Amino acid sequence: MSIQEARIPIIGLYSNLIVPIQGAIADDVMATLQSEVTQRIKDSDVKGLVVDVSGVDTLDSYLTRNLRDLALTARLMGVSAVVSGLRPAVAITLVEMGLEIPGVHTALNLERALELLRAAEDEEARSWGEAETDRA
Amino acid sequence: MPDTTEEVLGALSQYFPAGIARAVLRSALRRGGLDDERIEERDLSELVSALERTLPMYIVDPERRGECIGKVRRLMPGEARAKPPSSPRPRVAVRESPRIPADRASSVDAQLPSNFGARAAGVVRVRSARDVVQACDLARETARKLGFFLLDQTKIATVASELARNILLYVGDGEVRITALEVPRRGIQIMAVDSGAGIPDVGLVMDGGYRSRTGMGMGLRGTKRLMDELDIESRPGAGTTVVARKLLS
Repeated sequence: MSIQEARIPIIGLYSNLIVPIQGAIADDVMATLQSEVTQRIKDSDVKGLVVDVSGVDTLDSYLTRNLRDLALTARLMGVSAVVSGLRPAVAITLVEMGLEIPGVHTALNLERALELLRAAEDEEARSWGEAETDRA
Repeated sequence: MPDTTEEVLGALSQYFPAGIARAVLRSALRRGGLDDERIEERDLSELVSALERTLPMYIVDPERRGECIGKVRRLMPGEARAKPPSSPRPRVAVRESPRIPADRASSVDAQLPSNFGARAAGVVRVRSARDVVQACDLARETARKLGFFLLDQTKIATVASELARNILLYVGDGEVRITALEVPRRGIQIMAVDSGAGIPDVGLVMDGGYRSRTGMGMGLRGTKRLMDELDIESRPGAGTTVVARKLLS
């Protein structure tokens, strides 16, 4: 599998950021990604982040940790984050290694991830609405 | 009279770089239950049989392995010495037929998995993130050719990535060797060798008592769970050799 040489694209879709990771990830690309994603979150009105790893065939402990850090950083900044498309073999391998990613939402695929983000947004809107009603 | 330990190391260094020769010797001594500080002449026969069990992990070619063991065997009292111990030790292995008497050779065959066949699939020098990916790809490709299914291919590739990354993160330079095991059972071996600072307490890392910021402890323990065998040889200042194997079921 080819090495992801170029920067990983960060796609803005409505108020979400979508980061599709393809192929093997070199560490420096991962470090750049983290700073670019947080910059985009700060600069624009982002509500959700999806990191899609359906194109990744191997995740070792180091990359898994990077992935988790990316998702948790986004969440700390107030953005819901979802990792989507983990391949079955990769998921089984991570579990066997004891490398689950606690605290990070996951989804079967990109579509489900976006649904999850929308549900989270609706939930937030509703709780705001209720708060407003209570005040009235 | 040169120290026996030095003589054995001298024989081994004709087949390995010095750091690895030491690791091989330590591994054999541990298997043989011998004192690893000082080898006495009387320990040599025990050491030779321990080496016969240990060496298949390091020297794939049976002929070359026989030669290497023959060199150590010749250090035993009563064995004809091929060369006086004071002769300069060649850095490059000298090909010569092992002088093992016929009756000995058969007893060696009985102990040694002499039908143990293997084929080197490749070596990746690990110095950059790109090399980590290369080691990972080579492991996956070798596993696929051997007939491992996708899940095991993924586990094997993950292990190669893990071991290569440990080299990159903690030492900065080393090697990952991928070997296809053929006889007695088909399988794959991933050997990661570096001559870095070593792991002070392998037991602690494997028991989960140690966890680095970058997650190395998790990685090595995880590696063990993904493979059938994992052997780690490490000592402060002397580098680390990790051998991981997975057999086809």
